[in-house]
Amino acid sequence: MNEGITQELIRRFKQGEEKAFNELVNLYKKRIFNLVFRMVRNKEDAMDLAQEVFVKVYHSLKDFRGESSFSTWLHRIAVNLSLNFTQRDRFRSFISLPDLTQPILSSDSPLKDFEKKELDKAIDQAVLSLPKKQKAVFVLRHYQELQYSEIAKVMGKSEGAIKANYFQALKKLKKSLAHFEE
Amino acid sequence: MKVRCKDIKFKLIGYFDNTLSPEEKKLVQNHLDTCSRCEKEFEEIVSTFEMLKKESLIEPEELFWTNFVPAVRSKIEKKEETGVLIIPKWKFAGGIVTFFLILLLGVFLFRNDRKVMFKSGAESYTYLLPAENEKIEELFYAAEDESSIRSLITEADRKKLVLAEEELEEYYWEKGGKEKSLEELDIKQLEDLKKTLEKEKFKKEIL
Repeated sequence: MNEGITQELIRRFKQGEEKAFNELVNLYKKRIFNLVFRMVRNKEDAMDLAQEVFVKVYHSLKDFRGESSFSTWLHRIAVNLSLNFTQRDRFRSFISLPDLTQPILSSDSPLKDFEKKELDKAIDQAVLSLPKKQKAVFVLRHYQELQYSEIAKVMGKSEGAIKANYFQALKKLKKSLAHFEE
Repeated sequence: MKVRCKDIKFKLIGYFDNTLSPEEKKLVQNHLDTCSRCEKEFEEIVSTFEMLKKESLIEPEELFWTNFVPAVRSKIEKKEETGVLIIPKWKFAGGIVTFFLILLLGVFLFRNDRKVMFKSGAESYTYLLPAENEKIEELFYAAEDESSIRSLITEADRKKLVLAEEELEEYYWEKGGKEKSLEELDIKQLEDLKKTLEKEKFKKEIL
């Protein structure tokens, strides 16, 4: 993301230009949706949560002093909301209807499609069962492709700790997905 | 210098996704050539990433993106209308503590309301109403300030209290030779008198 454009939009918003906030949302919405979706693993929840992230940003942006970059700050808000959401709604996920998320399947073989769906489900469960920090680090690195140094800023940890968390997360995923290996 | 496995372990992912410095990369490469345990660990990392790569992409419908900003705006307005603010957790916790303190204070003050001011001559007594003495004490309180007690008791209760007062007064004067009027008795004397009257009544009832 272009930090210069972002800073300009923040400046305009702080001066009272509401439209600048809309532009800021448009700039980051896909990235934030992807992050919260990978965290909560439910499309409907992620759609709602991604909007909540920007509601929180709207209310806090006037106090944002730019001590960290906007992107770091935004990712931190999204990660925290997702982690809280996961905790709060863990019970609901057990009793709710199955997620109607339809992944994009490219295969023309029904058997392969079935196997892919099973793998998707297994990855969902494996990621959801990761400890909080490991899950956040894994999502930020693997899906968001943030640098370790940036993840360290988002999470408020050292780079070494982030690398260790990522390694541990991957080992746990490996264990959870062992039965899918050919 | 011999490189230990634990020094290499956390560099294996970096080796896989090519984020190591050339020196670190060389270090890992040399170690993997000689350590079968770390080599196996690295192979497992590779196979896990291969599996994760097969994960499906999830894309919301185009309409979701089109409506995204209006939906955010609507949520912001709704929160402003309902006055729901984002309150920091510590403030929220403080609010709960304050609420319970106020509640506690309210209960305490209510209990204080149930205290009776009783005047005996120049002296005045304040004490918390024991349940069994409540009616009789309310009676004397009513005599001092009838309006203040009215809200606490029903009319039927009032009649009973008046009868109880008359009964007690009658009993008191029956004993004869009293230097003080009933209102001048202190609280202990009143309680003793009431107990004696109850004993007498009890004796009459069973004999």
